[in-house]
Amino acid sequence: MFEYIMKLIEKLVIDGGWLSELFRYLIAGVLVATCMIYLIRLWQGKIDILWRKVEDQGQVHILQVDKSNLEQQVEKLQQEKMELDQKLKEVRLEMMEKDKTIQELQKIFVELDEKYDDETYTTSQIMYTAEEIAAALANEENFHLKRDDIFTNLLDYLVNTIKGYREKNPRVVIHIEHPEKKDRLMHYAHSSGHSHRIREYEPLKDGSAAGRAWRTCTNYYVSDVEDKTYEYDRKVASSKYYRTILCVPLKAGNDPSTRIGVLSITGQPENAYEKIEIDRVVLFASLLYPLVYMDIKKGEVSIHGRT
Amino acid sequence: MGEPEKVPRKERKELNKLYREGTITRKQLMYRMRNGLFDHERLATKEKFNQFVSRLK
Repeated sequence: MFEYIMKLIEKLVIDGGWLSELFRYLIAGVLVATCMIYLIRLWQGKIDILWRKVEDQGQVHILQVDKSNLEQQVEKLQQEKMELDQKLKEVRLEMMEKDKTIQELQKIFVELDEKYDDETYTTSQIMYTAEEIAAALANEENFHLKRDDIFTNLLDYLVNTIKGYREKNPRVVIHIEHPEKKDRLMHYAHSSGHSHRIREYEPLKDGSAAGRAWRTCTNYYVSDVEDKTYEYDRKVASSKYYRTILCVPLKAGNDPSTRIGVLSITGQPENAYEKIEIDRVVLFASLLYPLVYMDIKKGEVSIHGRT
Repeated sequence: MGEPEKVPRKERKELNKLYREGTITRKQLMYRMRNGLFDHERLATKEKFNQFVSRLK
């Protein structure tokens, strides 16, 4: 069959008949039409030189619009991101500020609480002092027997209210008017920490810190005993033991005629005492007044000490 | 409210002695001397403040 078809084609082509001619024209026509279509499409830009289809302009336009939209969205998102970053930064800063405020608040509260703590403790010391003074007044016999011990205890309550005991080494002494030496005061009582020599010291009414408080009937705070502008008995030569001395007159209220003595407290460093501590010393001086007054008025204190 | 628990005189003297000797610190002296006296309101306020701060955090 195949051989028969091939023989027929051979016969038609070789013989140069009308069919052969028809084929030639047909092929030439197809080639010309193809060339024209190619050229037209190329001219229209629908294909490239290698007959590859070029994308549709509309589609390109849509894609370009999409791209532009996407770029705008990206830009917008980036802008939003930047704004959010900025807000986050601000919020973080605000939080840091708040944390700082809370820390400061806590610090102030701790400070306040420590002071409150100190005040309630001081109140307890005042209560015990008042209690022991009341007991001494109520039981005079016992008071006269144990006076030294009672006063040491009472003055130790005052010392207990002073902050920084180890650094300040506070020591208290009470002087009263000397019955014989009109220009001097004499020892009456002292807290623990003093040597027995404290009994021998008789401060001048004019020329010592205690004397100044006695004379003026006001508190006298010497922040540095080495400062020569203060009235202070430098012959005592005890500056190596203390640099500060506070002298408070023992008096009833503000009436100078009621003064009976001077309570002095020393402190090792320069300017040892805070305002609140000075106030406490003044308070204790008032607390001790009735007992000292009662004792002096009973006439049991002599220039040789207590009987 | 009942009478607060006062520290007996003998014990107070002993505490004073221990403090002078340096056996106890001022904080310990304060705590043992006061024995809770006059301190209720401070502790209640402190508790309230701590709760307030923990709510802020």
